[in-house]
Amino acid sequence: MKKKSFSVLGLVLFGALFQAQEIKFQEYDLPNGMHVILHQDNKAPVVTTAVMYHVGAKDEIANRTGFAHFFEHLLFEGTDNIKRGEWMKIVAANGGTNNANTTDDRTYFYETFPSNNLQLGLWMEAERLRHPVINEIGVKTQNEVVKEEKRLSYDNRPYGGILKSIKTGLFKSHPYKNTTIGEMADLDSAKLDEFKTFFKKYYVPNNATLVVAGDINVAETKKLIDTYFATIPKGDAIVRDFPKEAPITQETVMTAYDKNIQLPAYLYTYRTPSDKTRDSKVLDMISSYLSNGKSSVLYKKLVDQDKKALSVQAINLGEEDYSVFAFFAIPMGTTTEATLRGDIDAEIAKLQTTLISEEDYQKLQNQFENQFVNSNSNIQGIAASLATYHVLQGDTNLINKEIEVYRNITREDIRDVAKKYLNSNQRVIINYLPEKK
Amino acid sequence: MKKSLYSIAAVFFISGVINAQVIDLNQMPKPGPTPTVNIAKPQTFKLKNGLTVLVVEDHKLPRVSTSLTFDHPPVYEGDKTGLSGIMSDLLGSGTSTISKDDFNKKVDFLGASINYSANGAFASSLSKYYPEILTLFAAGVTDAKFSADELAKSKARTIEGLKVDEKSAQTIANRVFNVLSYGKNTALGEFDTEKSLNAISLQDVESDYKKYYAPQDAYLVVIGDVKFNDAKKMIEKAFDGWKKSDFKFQALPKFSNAAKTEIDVVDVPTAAQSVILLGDLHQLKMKDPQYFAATTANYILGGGSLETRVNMNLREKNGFTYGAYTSLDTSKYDSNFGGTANVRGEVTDKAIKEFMTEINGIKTITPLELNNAKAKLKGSFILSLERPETVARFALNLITQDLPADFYTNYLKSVDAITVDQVQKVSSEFIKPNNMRIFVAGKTSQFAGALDALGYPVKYFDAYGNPVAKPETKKMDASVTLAAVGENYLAAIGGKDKVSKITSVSSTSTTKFQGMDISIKSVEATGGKKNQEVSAMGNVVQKMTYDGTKGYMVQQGNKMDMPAAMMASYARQKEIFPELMFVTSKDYTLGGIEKINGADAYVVNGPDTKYYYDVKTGLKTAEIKTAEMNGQKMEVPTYFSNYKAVDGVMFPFTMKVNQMGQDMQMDVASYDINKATADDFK
Repeated sequence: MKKKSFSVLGLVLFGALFQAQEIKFQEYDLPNGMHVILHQDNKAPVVTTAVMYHVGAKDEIANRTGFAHFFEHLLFEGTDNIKRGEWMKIVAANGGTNNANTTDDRTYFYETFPSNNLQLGLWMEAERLRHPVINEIGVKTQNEVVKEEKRLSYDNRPYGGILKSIKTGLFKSHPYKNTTIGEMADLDSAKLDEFKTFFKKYYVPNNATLVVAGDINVAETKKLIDTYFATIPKGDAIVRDFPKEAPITQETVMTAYDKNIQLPAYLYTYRTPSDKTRDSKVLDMISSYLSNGKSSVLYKKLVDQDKKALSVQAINLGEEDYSVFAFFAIPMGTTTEATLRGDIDAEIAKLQTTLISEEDYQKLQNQFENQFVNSNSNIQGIAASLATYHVLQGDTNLINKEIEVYRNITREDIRDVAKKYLNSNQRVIINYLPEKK
Repeated sequence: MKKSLYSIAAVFFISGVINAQVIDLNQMPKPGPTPTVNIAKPQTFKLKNGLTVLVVEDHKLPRVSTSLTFDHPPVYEGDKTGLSGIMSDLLGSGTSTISKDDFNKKVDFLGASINYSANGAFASSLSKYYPEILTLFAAGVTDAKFSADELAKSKARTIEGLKVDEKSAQTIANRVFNVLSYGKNTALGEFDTEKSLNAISLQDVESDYKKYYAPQDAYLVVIGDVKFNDAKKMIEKAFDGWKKSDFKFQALPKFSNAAKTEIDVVDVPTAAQSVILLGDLHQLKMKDPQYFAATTANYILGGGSLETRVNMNLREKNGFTYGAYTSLDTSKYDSNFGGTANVRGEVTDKAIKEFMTEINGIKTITPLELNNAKAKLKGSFILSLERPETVARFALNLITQDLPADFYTNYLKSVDAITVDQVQKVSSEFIKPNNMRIFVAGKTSQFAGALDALGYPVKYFDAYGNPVAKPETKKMDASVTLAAVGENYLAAIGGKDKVSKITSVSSTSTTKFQGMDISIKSVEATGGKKNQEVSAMGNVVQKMTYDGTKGYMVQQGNKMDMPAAMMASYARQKEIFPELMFVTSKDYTLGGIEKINGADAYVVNGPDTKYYYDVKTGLKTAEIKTAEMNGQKMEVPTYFSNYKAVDGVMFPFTMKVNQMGQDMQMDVASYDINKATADDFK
């Protein structure tokens, strides 16, 4: 009797808890077009000030690749009121941390401070936008830093050229055909004026989203934001009109070489739709099903049981205009490309014809929910999510709602999307081989 | 009426503040007043069996974490030392109703995690799976099942671990330092041995579990997206069957410090570095008002990041070590102050001297040091508050460490209030430079002579804390010369004639590293040429080549030029056998006699390597290379044994290398003489 009443309670409890998290926020535009998102959480006296600029590698003009990423570096060089080399020192001396990153679609800067330094964080971001120092010394210094980064992260890293070959294979006219790090020759030949022009075009309030998250008083914070940012002049409207890619209808094979590797890698790559689409989120789930964790389908088969591959992954790289779905496998011993392709194709075919098991489906849902919950576990993570959902997905509230999109994906959706995008005539095969000596 | 008055006042107040604030956009803002912190207060209840439960509702994210902690003194285990470690290793291997595999599979499926240890347990999951995870978690705590099979496996693993660490200077240091500080026959001073582990039976494990894994001293902290009333109901049910234990814990014996500061030494002839530990025991507790000043004093001395006094001295100024630190422990059952640094053997005495200088010097600090320490203490306290584990730790400390209720809410104020004077005065309460143990585990032949000059009594112990005599240093017979040591060696391996005809040596050997089979191909040729390839699972993971004029290295596919200093070192090694150059080169000197694995050996000092030749057999028994890593000098010893003839010349077929504290044995499969070609160095 007692037991029964408990289980009823358990059910009720279950239902009550089955609700998404709610991250409260408010958003508005300043008269100069700057978008502001505020998230108040006074639990811990920590505050993140962050700005996401809607500019990435895809906004670069021909023969000037690497500009967006270069600005991520250049904008730490100093401002009219912050001397060269002082930026990091100011952050450290005030108990904070900071960083920045760039993708094909946007550039993101942030600081996290104890909340009594909110004003400092705002001032620093306003300085960066209002009057950064862009001069020969800064450009020269950061040019060396970026070159070193390219050597370290791409040129000398085994398999460091993979992304470049994927992009070259799948994109012919859209600027996604270039890499974010860019070509060093382009940066070397760029004149100071070109950097200034790029800054003037993209680093303007109407192309920026400011997020202030954490231990704030909303009214006071709004006043401070107004003081620091509202007087920064608006820039010209930015028009984005990128060339469209023609659909891929025939399988092609390309070969790339890497001097840093001894074992080849084989890639099967597909161009898929923008990460704003529901289909792209279905592809996210497919990639997880295939290769996330030791109990995933491809890992279990190719790595664990048959020992045919040293590593196998299925990745969905979501971006604003198009996404990329790619299989990546490193063979073990004498396994041939054809064998790996055969095994991967067999799993794709299964996905396209039969439904995944209820149990796998539920596990997938659990994985996504866990991932979703933990991506917002600190203020800095929340700030980044808020900015990203607004700038790239066009809906800030996805921070609370996106998990519902995943929840509503059915086993049938998984089958249908696999059928729609993962066909052999829609792909580019890349044989990524050790460079011959 | 009252309300509207209030709101008018508020408006005035706010506008007053805003008006007063004229913001200069070109001026860096000053930090506001130190923020106040809102630390979540848990709701609590107690089960009939004594389990205290603290629930912190936090609905921001749909997840829940649960941690179980026991608050009782450490237990003396005597001839079964290691029992509670083995017991906790076996927790999570199933219950009376679910097998180990099913348990783990279920946790994975729910995307959750559960872990058990001797002092508690931890679980985390999405809130919607909390009922299931809590049930599994509680079953593992209250209804653990132990099997003889799992016990045997756990004992074997633990004994294997003891063997791996047998010669580690760090392990020896930690063990003997505790023996000397607390006494061998106490909970804090005893240590696992193969014998004590083997003595553990299944009944011991079961009785240990019943005695200590019991609810009356246990605290369960639940944090996250769960309603207090729901959590209460679930926990009451899940932990209902957990039986109280009537075991009475013994209070810890009173520990005392050394009557006078002394140096205690264990000779570890294979040690690549000296491990220095020092410290004393004190009475300072977290609840004491001096706690904050004491924490600050320790922070400035060596408890902070890189810019502490001991680190600035030992690392930055003198380059003795990669890092020197101090610690202040104020917990209920063990209050101690400690210092530690791993230093090069030959600077052991100097490092001790500098360490003690800094310890004595902490009686005076500057206002700037205090302000930096305060800013950092406050900053890290504030940033730590974001993590739910911090809130759990605070809630628990308030109870178990008997802290004032406002300890954490006033934390920042307390830090702000610390004065220079308080910090200067407090150090004498926990840092006792006249009653300290200074402990060294290291190769005493490198420093024993110099220790006496420091002015403290010096005592010697074996690796298990038993007193022994000072290891004697052998005097070398005056008739021994460098040339003779070289000649003896060459004669012992087959004669100078044969050796000087060798132009190249190629070898292949194997070893195990982190469970992987590693094979090493090495080729050396006259003129300093060298090639070494390390392979794992059939792939070359590391390669190093020097062709006599230039060289390169490949690591994980990253190719880089060989550093100039390394090339210069190879270029100097014109002969494969340096002994052929003892007479002609000025780079080598005779150093004396030292023990290598218990046997006397002559030491020859080379440019960046020391060579050791057995006094009796003449064979080379060891080589110690000095290498630079991250700007710090470190020693890499290799020990040679198992000499066998190859084409009439003796080569060692077993080599033991100690790299960064890790021992590796390399077994040579083959040597080939004069088979190398130019291709080997490309």
